[in-house]
Parts: sequence; C-alpha cells; structure tokens
Amino acid sequence: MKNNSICHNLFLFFLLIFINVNAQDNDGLYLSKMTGINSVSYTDVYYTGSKDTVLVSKYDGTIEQIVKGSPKSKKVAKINDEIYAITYNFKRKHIAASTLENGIVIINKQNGKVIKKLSLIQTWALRIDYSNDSKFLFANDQRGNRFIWDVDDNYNPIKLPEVMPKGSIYSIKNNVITLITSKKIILWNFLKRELIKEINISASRIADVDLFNNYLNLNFNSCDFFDVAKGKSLFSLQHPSWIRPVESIGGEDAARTSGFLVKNGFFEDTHYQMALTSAKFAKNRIYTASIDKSIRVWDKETGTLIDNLIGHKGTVNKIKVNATENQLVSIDLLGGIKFWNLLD
Amino acid sequence: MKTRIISIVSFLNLIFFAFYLFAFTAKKDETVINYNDKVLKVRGIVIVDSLGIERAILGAHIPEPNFANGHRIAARGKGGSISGLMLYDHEGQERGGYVTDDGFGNVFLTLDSKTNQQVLLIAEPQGGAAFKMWDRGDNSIHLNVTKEASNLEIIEKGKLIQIKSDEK
Repeated sequence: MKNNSICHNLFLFFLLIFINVNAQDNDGLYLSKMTGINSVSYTDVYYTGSKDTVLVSKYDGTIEQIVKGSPKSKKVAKINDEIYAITYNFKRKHIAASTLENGIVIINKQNGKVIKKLSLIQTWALRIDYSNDSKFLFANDQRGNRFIWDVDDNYNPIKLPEVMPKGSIYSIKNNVITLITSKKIILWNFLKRELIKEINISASRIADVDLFNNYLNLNFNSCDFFDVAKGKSLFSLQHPSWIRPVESIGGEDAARTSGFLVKNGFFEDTHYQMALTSAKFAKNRIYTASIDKSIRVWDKETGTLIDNLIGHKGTVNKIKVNATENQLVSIDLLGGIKFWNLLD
Repeated sequence: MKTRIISIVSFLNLIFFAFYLFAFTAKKDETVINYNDKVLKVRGIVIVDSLGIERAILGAHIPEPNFANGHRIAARGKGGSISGLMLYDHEGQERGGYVTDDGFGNVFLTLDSKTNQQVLLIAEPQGGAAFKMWDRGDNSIHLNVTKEASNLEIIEKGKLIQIKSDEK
C-alpha cells in the first residue's frame, strides 16, 4: 500500500514537471485584433495645471500625467481602447477620453477608475471638451452628430432642440454655444434657445478661434488668419522651409556643399513647405505646427515669422496653450513632448 | 490513518516542489523548428519595428488609417472593408497598400503621401483598369481602359492638355 502511494506520488511529480517544462508560452504572440497603431505616439494633450502639468493620451489607451522637468511620467489610467482626445473637468477631477469602441469614457483622475461610458451614435469623436463652468460635456462625431451631457446630472444626455443651428460644437462658454460650419460661426444661447450672432466665414478646418471670433483656418500647408472685424483674411502663413538636423544629410559640410544654410546643427531646405497639423493663438502671436517637426511663431498683427521652435523628432501633431497664455505644450508622433515658455 | 496523512502531506509537498522547480525553468528554446511542410492559416500578420510601431499588416480586414493629427479616421467604414497588404511609415501613418475591397470587388495598389493618396493602380471586376497619379489637385495624369475606350488625360495647373490622337 505504502509503495503504491509513493509510486503514485512520483508519477504525479514527474507528470507535473513534464507539463511545466513543455508548456508553450504564447503570451504576446497572438493579438486579439489588428489595429495599425503607433504605440509610442501621443494622441492628445491637456493642461491640468496653470502651467507645467499636462495629461497625455496614447493609442494604447494609456493616460499619463507629465510635469515639466520631471524625467518620469505618472500613469493615471489605462483603458482597453484607443484614445484620440482628452479633456479635463477641474471641479470634479474627471477625465473625459474619446475612444474608438467605447464612445466617451469618463475616468476619475484620483484613482484611474472608469466612472461612466457615454455612447455615441456612429463612429467616434475627435473633438470633446467641457464647458467653461464644468457643467456640460460636449462631443462631435465624424458623421456630424452632436452630443451634450449634463455633468451634474450624472452625465445624462441632453436632448438637443431642433431649433439649434447646424454646425459642430466648438465650445460652450457661459451657456453660449459656438457652432462652426464651413460658412458660418454661430453663437447660440443654450438656455434661452436664441441666436446671438452669425459670422459669415469661408473655412475648411478651423484650428483656433480667439476672443473676438477671429479664426485660424488650416488648408494643407497654409494657415489663414481671418479677421472678423475686417471681414477678410489678413494673411496666409506657410512654413518657409523644412529645418532638418545636418546628420540627416551627412553632416555640416555635406549640407553646405548642397547649398544649404547651416545654423546650430540644422539646415533649412526651402524646397519643402510641409502640411500643417495644428495652429493656436496666444496673446499677440500665432503658433503653427507641422509634419516638418517644427513649430513656427508668427506676429499676429503682420504675419511676420518671428521664431522657429525646433527639437521634435517626429510630426508635431498637437499644440496647446495654457490659460494664461504664457506656455505652450507640443506633442509628436514619436512620443516626444516639449514645453515652451512664451514671451510677449 | 497516519499513513494516509503522510501520503497526503507528501503529495502536497511534491506539488509545491514541482511549482518551485517550475520557477527555475527558463524556456530557452534554441532549436530551429522547420516549418517547410506547414501551411500557416491566420487572419493577419503584423510587422513591428524596434519601437513597436506597426509598419506592415497582411490581413483581412485592414484597420482604418491613422493620420498626422494623432487619430483614426473613419475612411473605410468602421469594420474595415479592404484586405491585403498595407504599409505604414515610421510614425505609423498609412502610406500605401496592395489590397482588394469587399464593396466593388476592385483590386488596387495605392501610394500615399503623409496627407493624401498620390498614386492609384486599379483593376475593376468587370474588366476595366485605371492608373492615376496626382499632386494635391492641380496636376494629374489619368490613364484608363474600358470596353468602350482607352483614355489618357493629363491635367497641368488645372488645365487639360490635349494629346494628339491617331499619331502615326
């Protein structure tokens, strides 16, 4: 009996060893789906402090907090979906993230947990934001559907009245919705349900609107500054060159031999005026970002090029300006982020 | 009873010891497995670079494209309707592919810049074919053949350039 027990145990022992040694480790070999994503790229950035502190999102569903000068980022949340846009509710400390499959996901910034998922009708949203009083959250999907949720009422959706003018929701400030179409900027009082103002425009992709409803319109590689008071476009901005590190052409001598002007390890190739990705107003300046990996600084009054902000190693896909307009943050498709202090 | 307890304890001991040994089993399989006589049947193969950025996908269906602004565009319908080989640049942007589509039954080769499609070579299911290349709007060359006709169209700075016909 005793011998049988020992034999039995020895058999089990060797069986376990055999199973363990021959176990196939396929972790990471198989994917649940094909995504075609760049896992290092930042997809959006949002200021959570007056300056120096931002939230960033990634295609892999990660949201991190980055502080200027800090070598490490802090993971705030991770969801199992792609994130394209984020915004932040300062009062409730909620992060709203626009995703591929789950609509808008509301996350508690304190513990990283998902509070609620707000469904969209079709596709996904590329522009979301809270109202300036943090009471409403809005989104526009890619099929032209518009959504507003009441934050104080547990994010219940608000049925939009039929009298609300057409257009994408750009912002909600003091109960006034700014709606944008390719032909008009419309200011509409959300509570009184009445039209405040209509401004005729001609735009393809509005990148920013200032306090006076002047706007920046992006059209491939040009950025038009439209002055509403004057009723016309004042000037069109194009990055005049592609500024590249001299290593990309074989060193300083090679760059000079090719006829390029070399400065601080970079050379300017004036044959290229690359597509623009983002543009922002800040005080008396205009900032434009491009797939040429640079940000250019322009005078808002004259359209004169003032400075080149270089150092990104990939396409600069988003730029954001803080509330006091003394700092700009830029992110790129290769996971780079830079803070730029803005001078008057 | 005592024997039974000893048996159970020794059995549990062996199990724990087995798991302990398992912790040291580094699976370094350095043997080269020969798959010459095997056929791989999968939905897709994804090629990534050293940063983990997806550079090529061979699959059905191909996902929607990502653009320079850092988001995916609903360009082909949410489920995706094309299958084949798609190429992506070092920033993960879709730059071209050799694919078939489910809707019309076309097979086509595309080459894209970072902002637009620039070259298209297509064969239609009923027998026609076309080759088109263009810049951002003003200049293009379009070559196509159908059952009815063969056409060559060159547009320069928005104006159609006349091509001499029946040239001997």
